[in-house]
Amino acid sequence: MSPTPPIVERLPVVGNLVLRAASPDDAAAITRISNLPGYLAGTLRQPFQPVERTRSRLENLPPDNLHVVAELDGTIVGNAVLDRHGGRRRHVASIGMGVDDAYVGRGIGTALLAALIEAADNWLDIVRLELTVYPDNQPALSLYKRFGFEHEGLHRADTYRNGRYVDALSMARLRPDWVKSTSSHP
Amino acid sequence: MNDASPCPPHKPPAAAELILRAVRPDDAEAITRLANLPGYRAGTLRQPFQRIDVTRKWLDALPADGLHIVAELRGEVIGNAGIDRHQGRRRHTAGIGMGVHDDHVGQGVGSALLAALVDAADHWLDIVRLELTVFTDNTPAIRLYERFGFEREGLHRAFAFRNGAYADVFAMARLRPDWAKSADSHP
Repeated sequence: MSPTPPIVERLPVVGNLVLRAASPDDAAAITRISNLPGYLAGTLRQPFQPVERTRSRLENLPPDNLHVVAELDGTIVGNAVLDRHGGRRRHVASIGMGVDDAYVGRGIGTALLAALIEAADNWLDIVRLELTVYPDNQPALSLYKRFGFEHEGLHRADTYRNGRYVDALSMARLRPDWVKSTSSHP
Repeated sequence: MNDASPCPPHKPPAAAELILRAVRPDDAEAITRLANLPGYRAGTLRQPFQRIDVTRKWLDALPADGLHIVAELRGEVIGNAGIDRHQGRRRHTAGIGMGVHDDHVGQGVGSALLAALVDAADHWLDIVRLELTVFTDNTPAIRLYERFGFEREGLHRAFAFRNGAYADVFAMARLRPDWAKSADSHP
């Protein structure tokens, strides 16, 4: 029984959407979407990211990380990463994701996030998922809220974006069963 | 003297003999000893029984644009602190981490270390935003950071495992004073 509500079923994607692990062969496709202006603006990517950098990241993924791509009718239209921390933060992972500018608002992000959360909750034993998002990125904010992420802070001048420093919101989601048992936690 | 620290340390350094200097490869043993003290551990993210080779590896891999210093009292390292500069679109920001020997807390060592980091960040490294996390019950550290202009930006729940339980931290940050003033006119 999954503690994660099957939200993905509420927003069907038109076409044949496949989620699978990213591989170094996806470097070109991932670089293509991460160089799109909307994807750039919503993430921390820099313009003109070279394919080699993407490939080297994909080739050197720590074994604890997940990198998932969303393929719609054979084309990569989004990706999402779960980056597990180490040491005394092993129960924590950061999430980053982005969708091809031409495919936003079609449930791709929902499908990707649902997959990461399902893996984190049911297989990776991650208690805390955290992320940052620009406060004016309404679609992303509502997506995260739907999955139980809550605001934890507003960080001033966090990132350079389109010619100026902008603030970022930090959000986090504690695994639902952990929240319930928190009062009895040692 | 310059206007590096908006608030000079309230307490005098542990002694006039307190020396701040750049970290050296042969500090590995002293830093490992610090990191294995229970109080130091509780205030940071260190794990018990940290091995010296872990410290050595960390020292060898310090990036050139970071800044790591130690506080030395009569030849003994009693505290350390560092600035880790972020990259890419967060190059104007840096994370701060620091810790003081359990037997030397409350003697101004932290103030001296933090004053040196803030001065370097403001006047030489062109860092706009300094950020850090601190356990919510670490009142002396929170007061220290507030004295240097750090403000609370958030509360992260269950951020790290500490002494048998997940503990919360505050996220704090300090914007360089001249930048904060000019923020409205920033392009």
